[in-house]
Amino acid sequence: MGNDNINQYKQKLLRSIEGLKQDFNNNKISQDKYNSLLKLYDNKLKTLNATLRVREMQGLTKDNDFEHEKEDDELELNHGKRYNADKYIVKQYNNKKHENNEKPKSNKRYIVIATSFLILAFIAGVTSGFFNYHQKMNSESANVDSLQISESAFPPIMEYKSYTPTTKTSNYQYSSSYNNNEGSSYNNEGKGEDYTGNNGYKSEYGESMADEPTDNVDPPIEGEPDST
Amino acid sequence: MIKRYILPIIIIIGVILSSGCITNNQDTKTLSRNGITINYPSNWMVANTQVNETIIAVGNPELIDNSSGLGLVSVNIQKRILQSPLNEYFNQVYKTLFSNSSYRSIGHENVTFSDYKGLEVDYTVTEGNEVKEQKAYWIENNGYVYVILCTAPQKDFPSQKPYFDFILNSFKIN
Repeated sequence: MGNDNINQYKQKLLRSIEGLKQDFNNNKISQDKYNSLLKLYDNKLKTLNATLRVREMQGLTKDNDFEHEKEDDELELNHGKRYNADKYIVKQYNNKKHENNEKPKSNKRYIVIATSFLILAFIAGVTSGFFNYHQKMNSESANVDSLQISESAFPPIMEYKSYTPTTKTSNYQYSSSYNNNEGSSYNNEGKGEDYTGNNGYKSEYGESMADEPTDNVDPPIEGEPDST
Repeated sequence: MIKRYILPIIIIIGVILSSGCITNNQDTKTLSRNGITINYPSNWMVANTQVNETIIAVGNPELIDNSSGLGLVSVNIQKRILQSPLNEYFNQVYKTLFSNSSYRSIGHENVTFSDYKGLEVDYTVTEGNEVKEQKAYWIENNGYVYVILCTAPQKDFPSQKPYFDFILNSFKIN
């Protein structure tokens, strides 16, 4: 529908409203009918005015705003209330900015601030984690000696098996070192077949050995077979 | 409009993922020493021991024997020159060990862990009124036998086993 047609229809509507008013004043129509028809015409007129305003904003027409305002005022008087034409007006960006396709500066600034904050938070987090990790490593190395264990997959009783004595004299030396609680001598290869050569060992030193406290060496194995 | 938010979203996701990675790493620790690398729980610590041939030892500092001050739960890795076939040496060692009434065998079998094939033996050791359970894993590598000995009081062994398995599965010879 062109602007001319809209204006014609609008004039027709205005004339109809005038006729309605005259009919009502001459008591040709009832109050109810008058009200309902007036409301109908009023709505149609508002729709037309809105359409014309939108077209003006789109640059399609350059009608005289004054006429519309006048018509609106007339309608408002009829209904006893203010017709708010502003609600049909949509605000636009500044034309200059719009032409250059620029975004508002404030948005850009917020994005820069947010990005900077995230980057700083990331760097701070990584740095903190890095230093905490090294502090933990240092504290761990400082406490290395605080936990002691004594478990061995090769308990001391195993060491007896590896001794390969050659003479009974060596048995005696082995036994004496045992009684002197010099446990380290057991680990020296070449000494002490004594354990496997159990007979001489027991007959001479077995009793005293059993009574001797031994911190570093397990007690003799029960039922250990003689290998000599 | 949507493109404008893509970069910040990617940055946020990156920060979250990075934080997650750092946090997760703190649950475990890695120890490399004497040609061996293991991972162990962060609440465990490196242990000191006078036991011969120990190359790495870690333990749970929360379980300590009050009388001796020694750790009750530990993993001790020892290395020894292998002078006979692994099976033969293994049998020889445990034949001798189980001849001592303090040591009681629970069982032994072939085992594979962390890409290594070896032998596993499970036994208990009675010391006074205390009974502790030990599991030893034997593997051979370049003429050496590596024995990973897991120890815990028998009543606590099941609860500690997941930690033992974790350490075992992270075991690597460098």
